[in-house]
Amino acid sequence: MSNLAPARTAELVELNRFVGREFLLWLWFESELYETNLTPSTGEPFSLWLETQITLASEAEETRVKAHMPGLAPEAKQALRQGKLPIATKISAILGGAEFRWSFKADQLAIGGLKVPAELKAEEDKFEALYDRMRLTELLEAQLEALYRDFVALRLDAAWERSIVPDLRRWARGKEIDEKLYAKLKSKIVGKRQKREAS
Amino acid sequence: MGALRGSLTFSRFFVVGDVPEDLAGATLKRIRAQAFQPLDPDEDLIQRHGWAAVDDPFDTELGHEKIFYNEYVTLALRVDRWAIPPALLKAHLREAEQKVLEKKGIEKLGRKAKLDLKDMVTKKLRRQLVPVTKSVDLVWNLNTNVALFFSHAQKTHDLVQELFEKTFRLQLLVESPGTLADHQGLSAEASGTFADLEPTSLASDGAVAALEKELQS
Repeated sequence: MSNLAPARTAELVELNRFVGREFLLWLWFESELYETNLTPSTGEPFSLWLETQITLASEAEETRVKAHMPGLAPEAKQALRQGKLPIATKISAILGGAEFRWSFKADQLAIGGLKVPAELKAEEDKFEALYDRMRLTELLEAQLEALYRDFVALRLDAAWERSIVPDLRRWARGKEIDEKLYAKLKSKIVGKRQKREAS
Repeated sequence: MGALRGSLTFSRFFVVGDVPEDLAGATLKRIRAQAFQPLDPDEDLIQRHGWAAVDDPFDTELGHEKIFYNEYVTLALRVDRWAIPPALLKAHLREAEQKVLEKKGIEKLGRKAKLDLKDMVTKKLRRQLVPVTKSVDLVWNLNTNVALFFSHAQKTHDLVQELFEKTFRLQLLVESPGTLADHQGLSAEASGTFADLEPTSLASDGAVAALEKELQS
């Protein structure tokens, strides 16, 4: 990004915030479809799942589901069928053998209450502790960025409306998804993006 | 909870602009010039903000070793604000007003006299109180040009963006679905497609509703 005019900056920040909700929806979908095992095309395979609560909203209404695995709760899927999308949740991930837990606000892509498996304490060495915590935070951020990159490729492709939304609808209704077909389609779209970036 | 201990709550910002090669040399003087300055009870200012050291908002003697650590720039935004409890101000104001009325032998104060009295009482109370101090850490990775700022509050975002720009002559662009997509380098065509997106809904549309009805029957 180069220097942006203030008006362009403000516009970009506010542009299509609903895409954050759709990203969270897609994470939820993939986490269930692949039994928590996610594979970002430019990151490391890792495990991610929604935990303890999820809030879904449409313009007029909000549904909050609290459960051990809230994504599996019938009320959560029902809210999707009512046209609501996830706006906030708690997420857990296992990355590099270590567990990360955080809350996620979809409209801002904002992370809160992130617990990282840092080993050093600030009382021992302030800057080494900071380095340790930042390294772990950035490791997780890189994974999430890689997932977002894949999601955006899918979202901008014509196949989103044609094939992926119908899959999401079937999933929200507890129906079978052709996992192999979805994986093939995703790989094709993400591969196309990677080729474009490489050229 | 900040960069050094506890759980991490932060907003990500993309640093926009040309970062000088010798950032420390180019900016240390300006960082010090924007270091936090204490509030003065006799000033009209109700709030003041500036840079302080990460982990110690009362350390405003900002040396190179406190700010630059390998690829990281670490600072804290310190915000001090006078916060006089309204009930305390009201009680002191009533007492002061009573004294003036008795001294002058009048029954009521004019609007301007009341405002002057409020100003005087406020400053007197400020001298007896300490401002409320808030400090929010900022950690900027020079390799990625991404900064983590440990607050989600919009008002605090506005303050750090303004101070960062004044100090480094670079912009802080908050992460959002739009800015992250842009940061990942969308082509002009893809940017246009992104801008034109319509929200997805999984609610039953006509076709799906008909299918559901058919399945139920």
